[in-house]
Amino acid sequence: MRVLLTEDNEGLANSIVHYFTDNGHAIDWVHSAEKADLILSHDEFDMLILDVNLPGKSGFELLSSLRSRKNPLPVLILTARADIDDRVSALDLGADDYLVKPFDLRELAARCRALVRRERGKSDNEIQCGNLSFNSATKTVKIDDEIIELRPREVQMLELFLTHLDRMLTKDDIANRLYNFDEAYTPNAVEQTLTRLRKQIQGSTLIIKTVRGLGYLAHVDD
Amino acid sequence: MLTRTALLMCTVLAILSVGVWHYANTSADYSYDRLLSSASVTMLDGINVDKNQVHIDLPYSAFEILQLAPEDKIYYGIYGPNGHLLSGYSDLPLEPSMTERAADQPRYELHTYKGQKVRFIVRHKRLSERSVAGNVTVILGQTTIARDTQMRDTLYAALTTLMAVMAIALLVLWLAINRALTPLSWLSSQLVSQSPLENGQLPATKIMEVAPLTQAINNYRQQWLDALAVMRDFIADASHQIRTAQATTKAQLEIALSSQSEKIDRSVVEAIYQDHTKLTRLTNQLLVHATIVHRGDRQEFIPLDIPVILQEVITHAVRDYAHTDIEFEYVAAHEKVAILGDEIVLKEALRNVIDNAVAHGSTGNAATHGLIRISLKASGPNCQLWVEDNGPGIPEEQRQRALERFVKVGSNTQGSGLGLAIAQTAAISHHGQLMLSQSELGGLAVCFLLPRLTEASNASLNS
Amino acid sequence: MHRLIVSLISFFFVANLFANDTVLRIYSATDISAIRPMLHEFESLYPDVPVLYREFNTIELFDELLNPSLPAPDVVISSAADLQVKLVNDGFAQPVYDVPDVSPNQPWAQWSNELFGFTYEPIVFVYNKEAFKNTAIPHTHEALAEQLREKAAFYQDRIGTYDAGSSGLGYLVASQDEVTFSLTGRLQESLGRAKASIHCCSSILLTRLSTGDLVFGYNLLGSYAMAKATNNEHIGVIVPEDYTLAILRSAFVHKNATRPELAAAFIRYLRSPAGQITIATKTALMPLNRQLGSHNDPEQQLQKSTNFHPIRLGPELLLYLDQHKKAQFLNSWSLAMRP
Repeated sequence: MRVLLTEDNEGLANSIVHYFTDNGHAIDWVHSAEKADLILSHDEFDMLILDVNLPGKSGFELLSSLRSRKNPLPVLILTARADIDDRVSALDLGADDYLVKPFDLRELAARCRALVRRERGKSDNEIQCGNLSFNSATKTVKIDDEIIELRPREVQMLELFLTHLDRMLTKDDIANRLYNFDEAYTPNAVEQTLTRLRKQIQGSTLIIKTVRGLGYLAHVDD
Repeated sequence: MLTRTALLMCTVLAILSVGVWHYANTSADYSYDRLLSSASVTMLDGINVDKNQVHIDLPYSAFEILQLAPEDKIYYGIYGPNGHLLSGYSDLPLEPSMTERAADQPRYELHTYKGQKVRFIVRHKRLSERSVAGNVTVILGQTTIARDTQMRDTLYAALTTLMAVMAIALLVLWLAINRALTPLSWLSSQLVSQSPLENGQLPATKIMEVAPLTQAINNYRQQWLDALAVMRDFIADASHQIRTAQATTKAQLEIALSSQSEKIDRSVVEAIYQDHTKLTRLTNQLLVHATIVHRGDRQEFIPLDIPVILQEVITHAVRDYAHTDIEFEYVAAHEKVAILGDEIVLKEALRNVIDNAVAHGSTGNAATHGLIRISLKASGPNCQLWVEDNGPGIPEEQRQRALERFVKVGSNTQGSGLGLAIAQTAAISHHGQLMLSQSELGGLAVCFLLPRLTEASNASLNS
Repeated sequence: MHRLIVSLISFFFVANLFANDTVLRIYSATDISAIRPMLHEFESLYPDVPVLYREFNTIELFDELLNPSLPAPDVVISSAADLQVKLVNDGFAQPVYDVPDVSPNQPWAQWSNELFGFTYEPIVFVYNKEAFKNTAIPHTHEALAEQLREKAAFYQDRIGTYDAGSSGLGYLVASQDEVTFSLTGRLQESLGRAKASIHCCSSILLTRLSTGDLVFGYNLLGSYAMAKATNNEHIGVIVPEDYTLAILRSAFVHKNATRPELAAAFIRYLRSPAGQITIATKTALMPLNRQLGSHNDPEQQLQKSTNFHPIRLGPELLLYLDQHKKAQFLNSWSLAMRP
């Protein structure tokens, strides 16, 4: 993926660039919103990492001008302020995610991947989650490029989880997607499908957690 | 204040002056019109029919009446039934009207005649003899010197009185305000001479009205000083904690740098990373704590749906701990639970308690999965938010100390010692309390006991 | 038939005498001989200003002002208070300020800052001393009326008074007599029966009285009478004891005065202590300040009598000038005097 980093702290920026480059991502760094605006106008990026506190134009200003131009580029905001006011306004202005400084580089990279994955999933048939890939057209699932044979319901369930990563899904949510109105199902049926699915994708980086009393959450641990 | 009062009084004075002016005018007109009226009546008395003619024999008293305005000049005309001038001035600025009847009220008019203001009266008398029948008319005019003088005198007298009353009122007001404000002046002089942070009480006052105020100020100042003392302690504690952690990291870095070998031992960097993570967490929590304390002071509470907030907090925790083998469990309440509160504070507090549970629950319990159960219970006017773990827990005698800042109990070495303190501050700022107990899962049970937002209080809030 | 008398006091400026802007024009119904000392004194105060003094009788003066044939005067002086009031009322005067009060409590001695009285002249009885050698002199109006009845022969054709018809002063005195004294009508009838002779002027009456042609003069102007009596031992003056009318000679500044400030100065002078003393000591007139007395009144009758009825300067005087009122009054007066 190709990332544009807008960050005025050189030390932090260098580390991020270093880490992303090491992990095989293309990353460009600018230190002001004005520069970022310029580059974005003639170069294509998969996503933008944007610091809020910048010299000159603030990150929020850049973000709102992007969104007012209907630019759908995924944006992740970096903020040093833990206050909700910052987070809320970031999301209100159209940011896709935020991270509070200090953060783990690993975490930053994971969030970036998740954002790009989500954006690609909308247009591409191919969803890549760590070593697991899923083609929504052919319904083929691969782990480390090896095709895994899944039953239709398991494929349906996997697709549901892949399109709702990091979100809590209740048993009813899942059942409504897996079964029609006229199909009778038992609560156990969902559990059984999930158990089988878990077994099938063992060894992949996709984790499906059960929270008793609440539901299920899928997370890519890469 | 006195200026505004003076302005107000001036306005009142202006309005009253207009009234007084009107009154003076009316009363002067009234008095001198009466002179004119009686003089004209007396003149008409001297007009009769004699030998088939209008006979005019004006009584001397007619003009003597007008002596009451000694400076004023007199003009008159007497007109016969056909409107012809019988006697008097032929060039008066007004004429008798043939349509007026004798029974009508006399008419008064003000004209300029011979270069001066003259007030005229027009009065009729009916003559009904066979030979002469009709109205005779007297037009009598008098200059307005006396009239104007009386009007001026009345006006000046009234205005003088009015202004004297106003002046006295202002003076009394000024004295009263000064007297009333004396205690406050005394108070401000006392306050000016002291620094607000000085630990000194205001001297006792004999002025009864001020005593509650000095007391309140002393009280307020004491609270300030107390809060400052707490802050000082906190800063001292925080400095100690942060500097210690920094010293550790720095020392490790120095060792790493002074190493003879070209390559840095990975384990050393690992240790530095671990310590730095601890420092980061400590800093974060100190800031969170400060934020919670600060937001608690502001008390900007809104109605909160607790299950929604719990689900968000749990979702984030599950995501963040997805790579571990910790299991989360949620036990919902059987009814809707809402409270008045601050979402940020509450979420931070819960997250800290969960982080705490994660840190302690899993430690030394590799055999079984770490288990964290979060439950919500409604009990009458209160609700309880429970966070339990299956770790070793805290012995009962140490639980109270565990709530204090920077106190680490048991085998915990990773924590900052702030998590539970944050939770307690949050609970208290929500008018609730934080309780520690033994969980049936085996570990620590942390319970936020918070007052619920009932339908009634919600309704009153909305209206 | 008015007499032009120019007071040639400023002899040095004869050439300028008739230039309008350099003289003070005074039109007056007062004997020049009676007022000359005052003109002298005023001219000594204002040596640059010659005074042009023109004498009229009261009615002539009034008519001249209503229908002017001469240049407008600066100051108008007359003893006919009613005519003066009428002129002021009709706007022939202009106000004068800072005119001194002669003595306090005389509000009737001026009217409206325009008309100012400056003499106080009683209306008196004058008698021929020789004729009354053996006869009681009447000291009241009532006593006179009684004597006219009881001693008709004595008074027959030998009593005189002013002509109310042709003399402005005569009309004023006669009409005010009527206002003041309830028996005036009876007295007039008695005068008529005695065939009283009526004259226009004091001088004729006084001359006839001194020669013995007349024995008694009714309602004569006290100032002239006393002045005459001082020089003439044949006549005596009685200030009536029951009541004595007093007329105020008055002055005003004409509205068209060419020298209004000088005219005002003249009026201030008339009322000033100096002017009053001059009136008291050098003229035939009597000062408004009665305390000063008069050099013509050695018996100090003026100070003794208290029953003075000064005819106040005021608008009520207009009443007897009403054409109907005047016609009726003169009609009944003539009927009484010429039965």
